[in-house]
Amino acid sequence: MNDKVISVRNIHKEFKLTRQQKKKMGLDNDKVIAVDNISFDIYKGEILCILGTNGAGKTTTLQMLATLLKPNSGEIYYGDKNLSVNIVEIRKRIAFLTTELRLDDAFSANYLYDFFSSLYEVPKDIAVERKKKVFKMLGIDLFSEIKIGNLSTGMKQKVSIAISLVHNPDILIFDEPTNGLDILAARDIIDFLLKEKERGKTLIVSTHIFELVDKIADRVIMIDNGRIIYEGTYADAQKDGGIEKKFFDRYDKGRM
Amino acid sequence: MISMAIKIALKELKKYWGNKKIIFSTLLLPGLVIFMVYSILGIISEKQANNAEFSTAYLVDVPDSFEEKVLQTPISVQKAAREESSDIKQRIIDQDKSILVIFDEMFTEQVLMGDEPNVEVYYNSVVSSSVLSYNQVIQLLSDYKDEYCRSFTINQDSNIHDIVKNEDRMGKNISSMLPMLIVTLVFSACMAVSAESYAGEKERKTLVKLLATPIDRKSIVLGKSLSLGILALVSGLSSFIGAIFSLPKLYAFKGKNILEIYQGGHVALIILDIFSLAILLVTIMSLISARSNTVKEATTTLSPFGGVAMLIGMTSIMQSEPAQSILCYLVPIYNNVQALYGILIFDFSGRDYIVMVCINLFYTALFGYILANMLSDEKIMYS
Repeated sequence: MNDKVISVRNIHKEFKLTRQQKKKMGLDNDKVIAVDNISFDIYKGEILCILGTNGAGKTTTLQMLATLLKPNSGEIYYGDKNLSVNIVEIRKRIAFLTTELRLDDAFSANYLYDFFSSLYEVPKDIAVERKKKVFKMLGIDLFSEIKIGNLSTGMKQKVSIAISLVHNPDILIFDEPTNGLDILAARDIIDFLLKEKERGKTLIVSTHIFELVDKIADRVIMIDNGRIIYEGTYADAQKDGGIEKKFFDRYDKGRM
Repeated sequence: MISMAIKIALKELKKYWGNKKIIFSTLLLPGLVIFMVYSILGIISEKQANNAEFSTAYLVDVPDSFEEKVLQTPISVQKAAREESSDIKQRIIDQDKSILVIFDEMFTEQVLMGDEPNVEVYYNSVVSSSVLSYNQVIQLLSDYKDEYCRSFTINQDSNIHDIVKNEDRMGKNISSMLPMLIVTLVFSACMAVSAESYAGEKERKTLVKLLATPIDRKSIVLGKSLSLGILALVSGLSSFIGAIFSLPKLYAFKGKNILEIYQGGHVALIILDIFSLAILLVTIMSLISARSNTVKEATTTLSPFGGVAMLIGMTSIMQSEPAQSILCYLVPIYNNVQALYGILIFDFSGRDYIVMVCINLFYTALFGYILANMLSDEKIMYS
């Protein structure tokens, strides 16, 4: 097995509900558990797909990995570094991308790339070289001076990806990267993810699209109700009727 | 149609009642703010009325019967010779808290003979004690006339009785309007840019990208506050420049502008005052913006405070001199108004000004620190 780059140990995350949310959800508890004591590892150079329905806990898990949310309990290690005490250092190593995360409409891709490069203190000559390469790879050079507000959803997603790579992170965390994209844009994003893997990057991708898992996954984790219901290699997941069957069998079992 | 309209109205009201913040800021806050502000203004007015200061009245050729009447008032009386009039007038011009009452020579005799002698009353409209004493003396003269069926005139000569330097008069008039204008306009400018600052980014989901970077939260707050402060300062300066050209016209000071009265140093102090106000306001407003989930929510919460700012700005209209107590310079916005007022009426206190700037910067740093911690609070940022 490759080197372990991330170790997730018994992380638990719950959110306090307002009285209104409680009423709306018809719950007696004033808390909802989003992630329920899960543990898993991520290895260098792999693509780990986290598969689950909406509200299963995928995004919360990724947000905890991306340092945006703190677990109520449990630990996350990047190599031997504990996330809770090395947050700034870890932010320099990761890229986080979600469709929930948007770019300011008032600026162009070119400006935003330079701005975020400067925030990560990337030397100017390296930033220029990197921008040229990534813009070409994603086809952004054709619309780099157009304001984000005037771009299509697919173009915006490409710009978001480019900007998340300004500091050349070795770990990429993508939440539903092809959500809302047309088939051409989705294909470009999938090609990009595979290229990044070839370059030795580690990718964690959440999705509810089985076809995406088929195309990119090295390993698969299935999540339901904040718990891991399956973990294994893509090859293992394919056995006994395939990923889709495996997912729905376990999902239905959890509902019984 | 009516039933459909009622259904829609009920749905809208349900939406409204479901948002506690909106209910608080539209139903409770305006009333609470008005109650507090008017109560405070009432206390200030009462205190001012109780502490009203009268001038010394210099009386020339005063009939004994009138002198007795003046002695029954809080005005202190001093008899003066006609030759001293010029000196006394100069003291009044120099804001010496005095008034001068000159009765015509042989006043009583002239009255008895049926002539109409004149009484001249000189005062300085910039000095409130002088104005107060002037009004009191005019009232006494009027009563004196009625009481004794005497026939005389008051200020019926060709002299100007409000003896005040032109720049003092201009400064006084401007000082009563400009602080309110500046505070109100800077508040509006700050609100326009600050309400959007965090709530807007939360709404558009653009803030997360910044929060995912290794940048220290304090740098984000400082960067945002600085840019918002500069925008608000520019807006405040725009109001100030507008006032420079318009207020002299309003007060009919022909051919004059404020820069002929105030020196470069005064203007620099005014600019720093506006900046310290703007940077503090944007930081406080950014705090409210960060706590709000939408720009609308932030604007609704901030709006009632616009009235408060305007009313605090209006305190300069009721004043005769800037606040003397150092404690007044610890109260944000009010301290800016007092410092501005002091500069504009040439009653500038370096100590009070420095306290105002330092305390505003302290509050800015304090609120900025709270805001930086809020940016790390996932309940606020990802609610």
